[in-house]
Amino acid sequence: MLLRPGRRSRGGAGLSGLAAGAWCLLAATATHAGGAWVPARGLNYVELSTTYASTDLRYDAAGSPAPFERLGPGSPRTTYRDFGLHLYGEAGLGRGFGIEGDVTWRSARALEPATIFRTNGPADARLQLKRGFRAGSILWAVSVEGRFPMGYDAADYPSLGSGHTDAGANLHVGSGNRVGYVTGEIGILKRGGPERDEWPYAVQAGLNLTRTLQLIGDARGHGVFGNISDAAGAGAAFDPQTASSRLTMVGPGAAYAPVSGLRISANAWRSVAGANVPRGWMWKFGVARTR
Amino acid sequence: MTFRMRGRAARWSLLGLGAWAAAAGCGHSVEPRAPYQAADRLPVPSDLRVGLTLGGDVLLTWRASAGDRAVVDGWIVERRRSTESDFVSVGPALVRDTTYLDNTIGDGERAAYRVRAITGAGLASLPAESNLIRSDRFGPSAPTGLTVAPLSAALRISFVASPEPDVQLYLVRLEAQNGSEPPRDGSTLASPDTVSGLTPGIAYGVTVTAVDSAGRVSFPPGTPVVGVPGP
Repeated sequence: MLLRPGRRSRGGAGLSGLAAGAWCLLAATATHAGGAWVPARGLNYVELSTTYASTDLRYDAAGSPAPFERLGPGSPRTTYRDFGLHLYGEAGLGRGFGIEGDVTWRSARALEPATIFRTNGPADARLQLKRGFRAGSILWAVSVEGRFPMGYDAADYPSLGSGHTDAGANLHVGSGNRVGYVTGEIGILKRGGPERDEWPYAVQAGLNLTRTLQLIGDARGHGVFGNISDAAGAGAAFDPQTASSRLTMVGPGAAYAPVSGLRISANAWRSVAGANVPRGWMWKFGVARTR
Repeated sequence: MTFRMRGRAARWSLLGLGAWAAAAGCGHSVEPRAPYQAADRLPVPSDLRVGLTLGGDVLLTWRASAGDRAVVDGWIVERRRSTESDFVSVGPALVRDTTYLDNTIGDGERAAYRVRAITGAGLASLPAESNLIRSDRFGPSAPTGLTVAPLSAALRISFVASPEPDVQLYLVRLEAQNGSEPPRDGSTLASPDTVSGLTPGIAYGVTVTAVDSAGRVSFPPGTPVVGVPGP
């Protein structure tokens, strides 16, 4: 069952850790690894999820809350909506190695009083290779990953992504037992475009309320190397996908496993700090098959 | 059986979501939004004014309310020279402020301007249009050939007019050479002209400068021409 640690992952922390680590990967932020748990050879995890955010607020380049105005102060107020459909999978390769990846279909909209901007289509794909280790009750892993645009035009507003290939490396640490689990990760992400490089991070804890129900708390985001400027202030349109940014968001979540091999999860994040990113809530609903 | 049903349901769910994503399509669009779907629904710039800067550029200003700014991205400026039949865009594709300085118009050219509000969808409002204005970057040249002839308690002043077509008048200054009187300033529209009420026997230094339609004054001649009114 979902919340039982033990037999399914290489490190022995179990499906609870695997699933809990995995469901947070589609947070539409730079950090997205499945935690320190690496599936044993032949095991896999597949999740289909949606994310949704709608806001007319943002953090400006200095980190101050500001209206979401596409062309900067004084321009029409913009409501930014971002819907994502994500397919995520991870599989054990044996010898402590695992591979994971995701693809996203995204629908981004910017609504202004007189204009609607729409962009739909495949966004970015991500592929990560991970190697897990164990030190007593602590699991840890290192991973390298690449993120690739899937054919969209980053010049379209709003963009579906940066339009560049990014590369990153992460360190994951976690531990779990019958009561719950804790996992954290930190990494670096080398941006392929003009955006500043980032250091993504995440901390997540899960509490097993019953054998089938799990309560989750999550904090995640990404910092940035160097200073960032306000693209909109220079006269260009502000687009979260193409701007250098930083972000911190926190939120609750819950996971439910009605039957073996099925996991349903929902959670929400609220941005609490950032720069050049939308400000507000983001929602996620996911259905996963574990094996 | 239960597992089989669940697997089948999961596959159908995946297929359904995939089909939905495909139906939603891939692509990009920018569309006007009701009720701002026609030019006559967009706010027209108000109180359009044109003027000349000291350098002779044409400065346009107009007004937009907060409500206007909430709708439009900015404005586009169009110009039609008096020698042209159509308005053409000048300056940047989008003017974000309610002022525009046209420094590309030539000296002496006359032009009318239009300003239209424009939305993010590229829809432009009906225009606000200005009257013709003439650019003036340079002052007139000074009149030449100044001569002064004595009359009874007066001087007859003659000169060759400045060649610029926009010269509006000439300033005439008479200064008593012995300093016994304050300078006398007057104006004339053309040459020749007579300045009367002068004191016979006193030598007056006379200078003439030209003034154009923009108020620019020509450089004065180097040395005043002296004349002495007769008795």
